[in-house]
Amino acid sequence: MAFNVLVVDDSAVMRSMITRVVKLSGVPLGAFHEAGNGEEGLAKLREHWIDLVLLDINMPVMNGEEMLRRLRAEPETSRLPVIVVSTESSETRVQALEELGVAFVHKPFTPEDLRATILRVTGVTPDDEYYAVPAADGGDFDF
Amino acid sequence: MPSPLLTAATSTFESLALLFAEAPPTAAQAEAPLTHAARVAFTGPRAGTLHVAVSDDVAVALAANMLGLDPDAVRGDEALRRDAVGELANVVCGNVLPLVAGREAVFHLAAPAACDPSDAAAPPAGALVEVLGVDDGRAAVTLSLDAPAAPRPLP
Repeated sequence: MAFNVLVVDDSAVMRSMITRVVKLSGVPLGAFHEAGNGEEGLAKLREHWIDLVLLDINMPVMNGEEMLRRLRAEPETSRLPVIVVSTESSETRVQALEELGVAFVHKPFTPEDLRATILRVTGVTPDDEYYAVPAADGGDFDF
Repeated sequence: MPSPLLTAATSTFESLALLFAEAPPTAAQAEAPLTHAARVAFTGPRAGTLHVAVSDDVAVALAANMLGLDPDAVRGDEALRRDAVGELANVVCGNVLPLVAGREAVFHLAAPAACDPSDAAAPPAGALVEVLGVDDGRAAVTLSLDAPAAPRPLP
């Protein structure tokens, strides 16, 4: 199985950072899609089959919390694996997000933290037959 | 003891882009003109704005390190540098607010917006300001809190 991934963040630089970590995570990957806000993210979900969403919260047009509530309200995406990658630090708000069935990674994140969360959420482990050995050229990242 | 703003700013530079920031800047760093800036407005128990301004070489190093690219690859890309500074402001803001208001406080942050670097030269009265040396340049980080809302008169 290959995971089709959607990265939703208003920062193109942050989308690239997240994409690099996902590609080095060992999770078998299919297509990558990007969106700059929640509205674009919902449109991508309607257009493509997505297996994993990495979602920022503070975005223009539609924030990540609103996008999350809307996708959880749809039967097709109510159980879609979502990792919120955000600067959010309020324990109250993080708990509210986690009650919507998401994993949470705090910005700034280490590649190791994000990778561990991706493996936990996807259920892929290094012992798994689907596990893809990360590329040798890991740039600045060293898992 | 470092201020919450200094703590949040230095740890963000280091974690986000492997850049080591120190206050105060050296004389040479302090002369670098501020060329890129972004602000993040927030509401919650207190409303306000977090403003970050950096010199050009800091913006280049920030974008290059975040993307894992050679600095020359981002030097000609103004949009990438602006985007990286906006994300820096977003992360500093998200990390300083719990340090000043506690982890139970719920804030709502607006998306980062590019703004005038010269705003750093005239911070609002009462703002918390930190100037840091980063590589061969500098960064100025300003946290402004609006005055608390006046209590409503009883009906």
